[in-house]
Amino acid sequence: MSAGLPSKKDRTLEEFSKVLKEYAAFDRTLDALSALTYALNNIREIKAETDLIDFTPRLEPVDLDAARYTPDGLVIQKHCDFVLELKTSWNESDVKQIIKYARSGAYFLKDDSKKEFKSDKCVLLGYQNPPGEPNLDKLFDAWQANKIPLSLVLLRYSLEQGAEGERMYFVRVPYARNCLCPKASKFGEAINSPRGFPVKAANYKLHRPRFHKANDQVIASYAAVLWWTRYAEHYLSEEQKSEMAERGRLTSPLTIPWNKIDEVPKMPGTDVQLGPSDVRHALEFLQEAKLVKLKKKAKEFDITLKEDRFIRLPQGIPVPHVGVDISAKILGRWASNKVKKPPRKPKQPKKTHRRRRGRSSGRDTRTLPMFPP
Amino acid sequence: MTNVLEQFRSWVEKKANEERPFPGTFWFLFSSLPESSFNSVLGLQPTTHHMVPAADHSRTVQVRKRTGTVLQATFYSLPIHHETVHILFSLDKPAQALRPMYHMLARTRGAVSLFPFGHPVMKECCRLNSKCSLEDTRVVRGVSYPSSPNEGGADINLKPGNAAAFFERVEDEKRVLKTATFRAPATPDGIYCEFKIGRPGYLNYRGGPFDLLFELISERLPKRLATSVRPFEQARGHYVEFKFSEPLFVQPANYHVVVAALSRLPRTSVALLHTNPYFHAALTTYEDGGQFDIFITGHSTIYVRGQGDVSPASFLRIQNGLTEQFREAHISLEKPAEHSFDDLVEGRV
Repeated sequence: MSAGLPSKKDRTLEEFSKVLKEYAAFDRTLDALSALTYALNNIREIKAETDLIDFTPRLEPVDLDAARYTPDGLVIQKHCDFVLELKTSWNESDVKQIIKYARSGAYFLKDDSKKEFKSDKCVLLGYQNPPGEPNLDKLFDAWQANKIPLSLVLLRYSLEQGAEGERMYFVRVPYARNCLCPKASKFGEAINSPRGFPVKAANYKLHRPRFHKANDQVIASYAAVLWWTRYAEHYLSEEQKSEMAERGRLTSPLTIPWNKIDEVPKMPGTDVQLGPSDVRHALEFLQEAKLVKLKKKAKEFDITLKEDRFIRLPQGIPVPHVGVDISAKILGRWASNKVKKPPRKPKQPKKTHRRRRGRSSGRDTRTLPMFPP
Repeated sequence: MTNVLEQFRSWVEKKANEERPFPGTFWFLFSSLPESSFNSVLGLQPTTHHMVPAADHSRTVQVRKRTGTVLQATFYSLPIHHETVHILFSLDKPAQALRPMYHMLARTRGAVSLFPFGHPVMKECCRLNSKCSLEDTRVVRGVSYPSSPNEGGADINLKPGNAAAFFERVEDEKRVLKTATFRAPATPDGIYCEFKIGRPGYLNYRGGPFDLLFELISERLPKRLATSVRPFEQARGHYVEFKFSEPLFVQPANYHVVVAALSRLPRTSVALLHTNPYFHAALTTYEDGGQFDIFITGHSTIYVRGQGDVSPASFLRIQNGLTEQFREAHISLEKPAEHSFDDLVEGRV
């Protein structure tokens, strides 16, 4: 080892701590969605003014966009409509995304019928780590440049510890150009309140099982832990279920062909569950954690499902103070393998002077793509 | 039916007079299956030779230990059935029959489960005669261990004396009772019935007059157990509260005991989603496919909610896992609170 370079152990710890932080931050976003759900459903006056709460909304695209927009939430009330987007921290692409949500003129109901937004529409944009003023200026400049006659309200959401336990706090970002919510809404009034409003974890836990992800995003590590714990058993055959019930492990792997990944089992009691692309990311993460084997030639994933006690926490990963669970094992194995056994780069074909087979297809057919179309 | 049970009772009493201590053990099982499915899921076959009167189905189970020792037990189905409570009988010592019982249950995919006997049930059982007080029952042997987060080893002989003093000591020292052997007055002239109760869910009759103990086994206990499982039967869409009598989860550091208790449940996966400082874990039991969200948001209560249709048996196993670690809990369904707008903006939600 050369002097000054961090050791493998340090790098593993660094990777582990990074992935753990992301995991916790994402969980807080789902907590925020649950807390807002509680405020919308369990506060008498707000419930009375609310006609629709959708955490998997689809908005009509604008300009030349083909795909419908997928913000994190849509709240349709008697007098105004709210489009909700929650983020961990600032990203340059946020400006474009929020402008599109604001410009969208309609949303789709569950039966796919289209409904126009009311004139009093408000975009709520929540951050765990609110952006700095230069980024806020960028966002509001773009808002102004697009001449959007609606309110854009920036919120900060944070999990805070109070005397009566932990609470998810929502408060408007104190930025001069930040808008106010429409006054005709009690929900908006709560957000406009200078002190913001909290919802206790003890209360919002009621809605927490409804969220496995936000509408359009889940990080791979979170998806991997949930997939392994919650989804995997739904793929098992009756024989495999019996085997897990008796022995706690499979003797022959559970095989999921690529073309079956899109068939995600329906999870009871969950409104926003992992979708096909999330499952792909989860399986890739689990593959990197060496819990899943990718068989490229057979175009399938092999999963030897087993109960926690058969999975080892890798050496060098600190035992969490709350004890070892499957999330520590999965994230620990991922971090350890990332440093010790990084994935090999695919071999580049040697440059030869062979003629191309045909101009119609320039594709390299010698290696299969990971997910064929 | 009364005649059949009376025939069984007198046969058991007669056998107990011939062999002392009598190994006859009653196993209390939870299952919401009808009788025929219950027999079939456990692999109980119709009995051709009626070795045990009243038992029409039986099954012999063999388990080979890693050491090569073979444990074998035969379980007989008794026609005693109250709501979700079924009773099997075996003529093998509990220590011999427990592993074969677990082996048999593991194949039911969670459809059948033992009813764990908590401290209050054990305390109630040791008073066979309502005219006698707890002081009149003697404890022959008691095995207990300290509850979390208290430390210490198993105590095999709690200086047994009368049951009142015995239970008081177990409670004061915050111990979890594993097995207890009692001698309870069964007749007005002071003849004792001796029996042993095991926390996993069995009662072993060892000798003495059997009438009152049989009344407990066939009537009082099944009713008591069927009532205890009610919150789990109505738990769909609700959190079940396990409220402990003392603040056990003051610091997040105390959560490791909860994680350990959940991880010890057989054939499960526990994923922690949040632990700083409130606790949220996702639990899956492969035994019956039950999935749960587990929360701790206060100092003394664990909230458990099943995803979709979760069997009460699955809840029973979680209850057993938690209470054998933290002692008994008061179990109820959580009722969500209603709030006003003022509550929200004034920070009371």
